[in-house]
Amino acid sequence: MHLLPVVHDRGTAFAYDCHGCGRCCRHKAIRVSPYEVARLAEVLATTTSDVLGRWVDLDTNTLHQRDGGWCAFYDGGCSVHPGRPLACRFYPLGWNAKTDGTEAILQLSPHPESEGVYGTGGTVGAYLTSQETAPYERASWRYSVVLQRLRAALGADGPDPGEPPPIFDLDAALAEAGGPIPDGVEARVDRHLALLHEWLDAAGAPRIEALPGQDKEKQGATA
Amino acid sequence: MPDPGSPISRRKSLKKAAGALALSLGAPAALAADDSDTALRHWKMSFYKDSLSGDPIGSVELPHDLADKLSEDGLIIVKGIKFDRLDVRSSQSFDVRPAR
Repeated sequence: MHLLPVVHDRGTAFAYDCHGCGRCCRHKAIRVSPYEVARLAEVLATTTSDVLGRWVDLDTNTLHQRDGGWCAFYDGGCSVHPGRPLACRFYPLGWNAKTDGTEAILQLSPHPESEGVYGTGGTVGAYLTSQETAPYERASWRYSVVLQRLRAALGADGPDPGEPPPIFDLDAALAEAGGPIPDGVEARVDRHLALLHEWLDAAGAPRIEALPGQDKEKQGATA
Repeated sequence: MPDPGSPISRRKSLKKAAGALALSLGAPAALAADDSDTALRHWKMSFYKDSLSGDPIGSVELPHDLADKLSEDGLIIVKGIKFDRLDVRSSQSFDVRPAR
């Protein structure tokens, strides 16, 4: 994989028609965030602990691959499509975001034998809307605030907060904290983020307001 | 209860959490070319256990165009990119710095 020399914004003319050839599901390192693990668990009707134990390489935070390099969830098609990770939703695009709220949408070069068909009949924003990336983007922004606070705390003295709550295993984190566990991924992520921020407060980490991109309505993203 | 007298433990805890989350979000801190010849330039994003340690624990080779984007200041999220290869082998990684 390499990039075409193209950087888009959400208004750029773009269309991509996936013909399901599966070539983008092979020999790819798909990193997953806590939110993506929770979405996979929802689709698989299991716990985040189970997803992490069975399908995620905990050293790299990437999904396991089967023989031949196929994604562990590829079975002639994506078996977890409603909960597929953000990288799979963006493909053949990529997304970089900065702390100032700016972003870059990158176009990746296709697999040489890909059956996907490119076009200009839509926009990047419309394509991402069709892929339902918005909740994943919001979650990335929200967890990036935690990362920013961690970085800030590392640069300053403060009290020892002890072991952090489990970062990737939402179910374990919520069980460890006690109290009722909310239904639904979004509510559980809210609770997980609250636990992480409470822990950061205990570490004396400076408060950081929402990053500029976190709640920003992206052009075309919610159309 | 938090122990205000354990700065090493505090740093270890913070790094553990930051490393896991940074790897998940793909948040690099810096990149550098591994070849001074621009035409032949290859870029590598390397992961380190500690900013003061020696060898990287893993790396990702990147095309020039992507490296240009990733080298911008303030980058916090690199998601939505299917890397061909990611050989980082530790969830403890935190710092990313130039590799040659």
